[in-house]
Amino acid sequence: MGLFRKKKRIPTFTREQALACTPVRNNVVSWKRVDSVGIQVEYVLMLKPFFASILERFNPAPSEAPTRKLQLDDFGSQVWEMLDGSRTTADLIKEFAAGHEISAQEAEQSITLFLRELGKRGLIALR
Amino acid sequence: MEKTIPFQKTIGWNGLSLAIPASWDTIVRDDRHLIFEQELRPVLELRWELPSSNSYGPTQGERIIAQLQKEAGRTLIPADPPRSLIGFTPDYHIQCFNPPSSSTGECALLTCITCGAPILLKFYSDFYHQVVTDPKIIGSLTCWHAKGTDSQWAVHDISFRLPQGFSLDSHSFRFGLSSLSFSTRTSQLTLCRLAPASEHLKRNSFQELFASFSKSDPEQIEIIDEHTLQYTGVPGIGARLIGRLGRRKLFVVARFKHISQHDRIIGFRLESSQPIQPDTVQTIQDSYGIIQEEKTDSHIHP
Repeated sequence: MGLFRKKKRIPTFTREQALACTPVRNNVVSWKRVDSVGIQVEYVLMLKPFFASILERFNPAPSEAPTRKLQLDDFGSQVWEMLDGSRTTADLIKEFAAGHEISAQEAEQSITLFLRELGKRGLIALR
Repeated sequence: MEKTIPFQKTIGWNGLSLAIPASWDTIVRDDRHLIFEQELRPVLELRWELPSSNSYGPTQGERIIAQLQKEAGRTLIPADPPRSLIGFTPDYHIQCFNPPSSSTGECALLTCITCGAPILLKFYSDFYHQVVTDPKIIGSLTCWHAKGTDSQWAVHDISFRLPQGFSLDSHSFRFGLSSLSFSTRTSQLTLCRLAPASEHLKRNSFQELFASFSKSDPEQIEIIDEHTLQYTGVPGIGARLIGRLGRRKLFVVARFKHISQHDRIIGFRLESSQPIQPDTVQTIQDSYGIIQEEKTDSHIHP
């Protein structure tokens, strides 16, 4: 009875908590710098069980899990390289704002959006 | 002895202006809601409303206090105004309250005696004494609503003088592209700032960027100098008549300027359904620029 199941409460972060977190790259994810293009990240596609079962039906013995490549632009590559586990989100924002001479508001908006996108794909975790 | 804080920048936003230390960052939360931060920690919050002409029912100030009490879940206890606010007495009616939440040191409601606009100030506890004891920060607060002149805007690294009659429609401070949009009954003004310009110019030429911004034919673009482009669109008499029926804004003046020393491109587009006054264009053109920020240590310490 999925319809009447109690909705899971999603834990919410305050802004202060989110800024104090340290984003770290997922060790399972492989990445390399492609000259003149930026960083290319390759990650295993996380399929929902329904789609995984369909895939299994067409390809019963897959040799390897499906992967996807993500090409980051210059700014994305810079931030990706900064995700070494030594900087908090606040440090990333400050460094990025200072490096590009932009306001903290612009830096915060772009960095948090970027981290959220990486998080959705399972490429980073917050410590 | 009190330590005074060096002031390097003035913030002007939607009818209010204020001098703040250079180390503070301005966060534009809403059309009339600013938060000032230092090292990503909030220092001071400002919220205000446009003066209302409605004389019935509770005043704007009373409604704000009621809302604060609702948020706090209890009655707010009036407090003595801090020293920095006492100098304000001739211009503002002042009401101060104890903390409505744990993160806030104190809040004060100023009501402009001239125009009646209510301004709510929230002082954050970590920096409360530093902000409140220095009269320069709050003392520089100016309400432009009743001045009846062009208003001065300065936010992040852009500043300009907005001709009278325009009101803020929307704003966006995305990375790489900041834009502000204003309107009057007949005109629409859009200001933009591209940063860093070098990154944008890697992908598109200066002319291409301008053609896309001004919505003009590249052949009609006028090259003022190496770093400045302009487009002026004046419709013919036939187009003017047809445009009038659809209330289309066919008169256009757009300008783009590459400020290489700051690695910025700034531009504006003014569209109107009526012929554009040269004074309006001149005011925007002359005043719109990048603020040169001085790098000095002006941190305040909690």
